Amino acid sequence: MAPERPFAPAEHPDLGWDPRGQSALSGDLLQLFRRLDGVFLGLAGESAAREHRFPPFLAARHLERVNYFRSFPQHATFPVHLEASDENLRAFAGQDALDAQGNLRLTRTSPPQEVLTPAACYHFYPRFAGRTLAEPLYVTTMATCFRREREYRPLRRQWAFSMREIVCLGSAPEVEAFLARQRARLQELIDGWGLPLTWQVATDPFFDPRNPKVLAQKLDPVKHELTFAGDLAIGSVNLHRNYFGEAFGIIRAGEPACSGCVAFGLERWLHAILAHFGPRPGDWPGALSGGTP
Amino acid sequence: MKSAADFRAALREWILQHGKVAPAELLDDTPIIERRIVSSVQVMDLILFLEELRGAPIDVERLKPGAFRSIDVITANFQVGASHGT
Repeated sequence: MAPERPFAPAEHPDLGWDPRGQSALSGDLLQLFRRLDGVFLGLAGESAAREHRFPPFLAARHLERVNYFRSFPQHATFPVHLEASDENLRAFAGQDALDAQGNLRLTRTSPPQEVLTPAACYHFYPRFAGRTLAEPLYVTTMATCFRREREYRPLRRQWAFSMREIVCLGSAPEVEAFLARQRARLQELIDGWGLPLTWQVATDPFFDPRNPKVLAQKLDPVKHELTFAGDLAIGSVNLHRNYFGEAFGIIRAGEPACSGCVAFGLERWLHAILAHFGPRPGDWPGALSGGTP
Repeated sequence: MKSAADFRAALREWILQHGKVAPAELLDDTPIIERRIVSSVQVMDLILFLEELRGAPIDVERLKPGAFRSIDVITANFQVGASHGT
C-alpha cells in the first residue's frame, strides 16, 4: 500500500549521497538492493541465463567497434593514470596534490586505452567475439556503470550506478521470443507488487540529435522503457537486431547473431519502491521485505 | 511525376545498390530496416534519394514507426500523391 504522506527517497537515513553523482547504501536499503537484484536474477534463471562477472574497465577499442564514442561521447568516463617515469611521479608527489577546488594537479598522464563500463551488456559482445553459436546464448551480469550527466540526483541520476542485464544472443526469432517472455514475466511481477509503471517507446540518448540512428530508432522502435511516475526509466527491453553480432563476428544459423537485453537500473528501482511504498520494509512487497514472494 | 511502378523500380534499385541483400531476397514486403538491409546510417541517404525521386521534401519530424518498413510501404507512403507516415 502506498504511504499516506509521500516519502522522499533521498532522505532515507540508509542512503549516503555524494553530490558528484554517487550513492552509498546500508541497512534496509542495502537489503532492498540485494533482494531486488535477487528477483532480477530469478528472472534470468527462468531463461537459464549463465551469470558472469566482469571487471570495471572495457577496452576502448571494443566500444569503438560499435561507434560508442561517436554516439554517446557525453557519457564516457576514462580511467587515467600518471605516466610512470620517476621524474614525472616525483613531480606529482612533490607538490600539493589538490588545488583549492579539489581538482587533482596531474602531471603527465598516459593516454587512456580503457573506458569505465557504460552499460553492463557491452562486456558480453567482445567476450563472445568470433564465436559460432550452436544454440541461443542466455547470459546475465550486474555491473557498476558510469555515465557523465549534466546534473545528478540521488538514486535517480548518478554518475556511478548499478545495472543488472539479462541478454540473449541468437537468431532473430529466438531473441524476439526471449524479450517477449521476459517482458511478460516482468509485467506479472510488477502487477503482483502493485507498482505503478508504464511502458514507453524510447530512443537511446544519442549526443547528436541529427545522428541517423535516432531517426532509425524512431522508424523501427527497438527500445521500450519501464517508466515510474511518467519520467523515470527504471528498466528497459532492447532489441539490438544484428548490430553487435555483426560488429563482433558472432554467428548464429549462418548469419550474424541478433541480440537483445533486458536492463534494470537498481538505484532507480530503489527510488520507485521507496517513493511508492515508503521507507518501512514491512510496507514493501513480500519478496522485497523478506517475506513470501 | 513517376508512376508507382517506376517509383518502386527505382527504390528497389537503390536498395540493391546500397543495402546488404541479394536481388532474389528483396521482395516488395521484405522488412528493410528490421533486417538491417538498410543500416541506420543509410536512412538519411534513403530519405534524400526519396526526396529526389518524388520531387518533394519529406518532413522528417512527421515520420512514424514503420514508415520505411518495405518497398510496398515506402511506395504507399512517399510516392507523390501519397501522404507520408503510417
